[in-house]
Amino acid sequence: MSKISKQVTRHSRRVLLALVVLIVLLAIPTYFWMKDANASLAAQRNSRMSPVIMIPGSSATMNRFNQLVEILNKQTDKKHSLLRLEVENNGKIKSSGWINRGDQEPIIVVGFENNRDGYQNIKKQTKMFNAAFELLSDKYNFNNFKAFGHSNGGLIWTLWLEKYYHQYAEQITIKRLMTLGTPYNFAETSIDQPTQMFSDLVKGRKKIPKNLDVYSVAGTESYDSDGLVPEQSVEAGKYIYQKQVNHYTTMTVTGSSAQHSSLPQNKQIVNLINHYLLDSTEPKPDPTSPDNGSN
Amino acid sequence: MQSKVVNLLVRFNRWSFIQAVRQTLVVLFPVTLIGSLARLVVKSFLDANGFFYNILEIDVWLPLVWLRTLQFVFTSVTQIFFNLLGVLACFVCAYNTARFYRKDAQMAGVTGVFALLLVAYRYGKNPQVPINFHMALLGGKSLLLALLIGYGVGQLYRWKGPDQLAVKTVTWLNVRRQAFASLWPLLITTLLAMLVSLAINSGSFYRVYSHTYTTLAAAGQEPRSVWTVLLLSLALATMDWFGLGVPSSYKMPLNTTAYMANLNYALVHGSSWHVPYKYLGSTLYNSFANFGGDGLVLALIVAILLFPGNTSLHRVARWSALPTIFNFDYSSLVGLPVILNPVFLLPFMFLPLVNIAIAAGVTALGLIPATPYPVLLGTPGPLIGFLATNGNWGTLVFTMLLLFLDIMMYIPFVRLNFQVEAQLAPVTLGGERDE
Repeated sequence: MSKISKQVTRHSRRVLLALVVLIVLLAIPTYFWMKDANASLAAQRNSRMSPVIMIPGSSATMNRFNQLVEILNKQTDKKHSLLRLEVENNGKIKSSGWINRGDQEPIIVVGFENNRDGYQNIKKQTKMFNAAFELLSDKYNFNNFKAFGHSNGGLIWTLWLEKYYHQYAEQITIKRLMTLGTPYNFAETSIDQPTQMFSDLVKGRKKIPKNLDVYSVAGTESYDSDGLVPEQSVEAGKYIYQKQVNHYTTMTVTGSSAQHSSLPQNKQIVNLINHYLLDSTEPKPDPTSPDNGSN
Repeated sequence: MQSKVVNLLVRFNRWSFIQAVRQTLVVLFPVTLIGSLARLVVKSFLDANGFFYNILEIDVWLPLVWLRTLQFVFTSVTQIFFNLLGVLACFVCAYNTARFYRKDAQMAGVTGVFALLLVAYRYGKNPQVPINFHMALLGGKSLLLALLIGYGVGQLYRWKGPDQLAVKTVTWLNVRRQAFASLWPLLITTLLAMLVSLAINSGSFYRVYSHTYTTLAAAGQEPRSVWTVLLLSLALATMDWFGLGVPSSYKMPLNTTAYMANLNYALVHGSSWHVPYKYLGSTLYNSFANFGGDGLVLALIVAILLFPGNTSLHRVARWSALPTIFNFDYSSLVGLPVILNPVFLLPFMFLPLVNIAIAAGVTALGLIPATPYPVLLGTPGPLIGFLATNGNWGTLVFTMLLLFLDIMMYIPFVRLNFQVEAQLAPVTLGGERDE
């Protein structure tokens, strides 16, 4: 062997040695990543928690549903703990309340510092909500949840499903969504005058998961409005959800406290939440389960 | 016996097409190396499923805006270098072929590029729409096509083209005459390319062609029987060898039903010993037949680096080792080369099959568990099995033994390659006189 090729061989062996060292050095952090990632995957897969995540409407705070949860907990044997988050405009998320250990169906309310009305604000709030959702999914590892939105909260849910949900779709299932007095077409009384937001939501509807059950609840004080949102605007939700999701059910609640802002405290509505949105404790005939809802 | 094989291989390598191809691949090597490194950055550092992205927790400290910008910057490099690789290959191949016969190489190269662009031209709905190409014909995916067209154009110049001009004696008159003399080969090439393009645009040939590789790669994911996986792996390796592989492809187990069933089982039970589909092709391939990408190129690189001898091959192996340990092996395929090199054909096609068969056997014996856990993009090949079993040490030992076996099996072929190279070294290439 000539001198030159000996040199070459030495050079090559050094590269080889460097490769081995590199792999060994990389193997150490990789090992910890693997244990960590698989543990959290397993925790998520085996998690029994199925929270109800609620978004209030415009001008409301994370305390909007305190009364609702109080009434709900009086009615049911299962006591739901209440965690409230508020996303501030600077991106910080502050929380109050907690989730009781072993509570499999806690209620989590996400409010926003910027709680103003209007499509631009709703877009911003949806992005803020997504940050909160990411935090929640990281922290609590749930693999399914139920959603509830009052007024504009329902719009945020719809927009979130169309724009952000696909990031989580593989790991986290949204089982049911209930929107309450949600103005899908803002204050318009006819879909012949579609707002920009309504057109966008209809355009993006194909992104909404097909196995979702949706309940749209309207309140009426007069014969066509809850005093603030026209019934037709709530009804316009069908152009978004119908023929896309598994079931789309609309309900109208009348009587006392059917005014837009009182809806969340309305006993009738608490009953609907209990019956349709929450997971049942005892096996009760569910009129909307996929098994008997196919025809 | 051995000298007979060597002689045969030397004769093959002296065939003018192969000479042109090998010269072209040498020129392409630096391009593909930079392309592979950029690809490594995009997939491993900047992708949410990437190896370094997760190990270095890039999402924690790198702002999203920066991440997006960097993705654009590096993707631009891979797209230009890989998706237009055929154009470069065609130019260089036509150039080299014409030069063998001392013909005007520059015009031949230019003619080659126009021929390829014409062939790849995509007819729109009406002739007024902006220019549009069948991109799969211009990229590294169709390297063989680009080389064939380049070679064909070079041969045409041998027949009809003007002679090469020696720099010292050139006059304006010569240059003008030269340009006119190229008119015939250019015209013939144009007419032929128009016909080919017409044929491609009228049939469904292109659609079938452009989807073959990815369809095969996707089909390799789902089958639960080992045999189908072996066949598909063979088909893909053959295409890679012919220069029809996708340079930026990276075969990861997809979330098929069987894959998810395995993963779910492992997550619920905390171990992967008794998953429902123990011999799932995609995970077997990814864990045990993927050291440095298709054809266990990492084993080939190590075998070369261990072997005393030829300088240039060592240099190529040293440079392409870095992307190859993270399974981005295209620069190795081009640089060593593996593409259209008969010496490496056998191990390149069959060693992965040997690995899958051994791994399936050892799994059946109950010595190692199945490999259902998720693995990051660009994880070093020898670590994949270990990660995919959530850290089973037996699997790590087994993987190392397998890699050692592969290196040993590659060594005779590396020796053969050095012998062939040694025979070829003193032979002058075609008409190349000026160095």
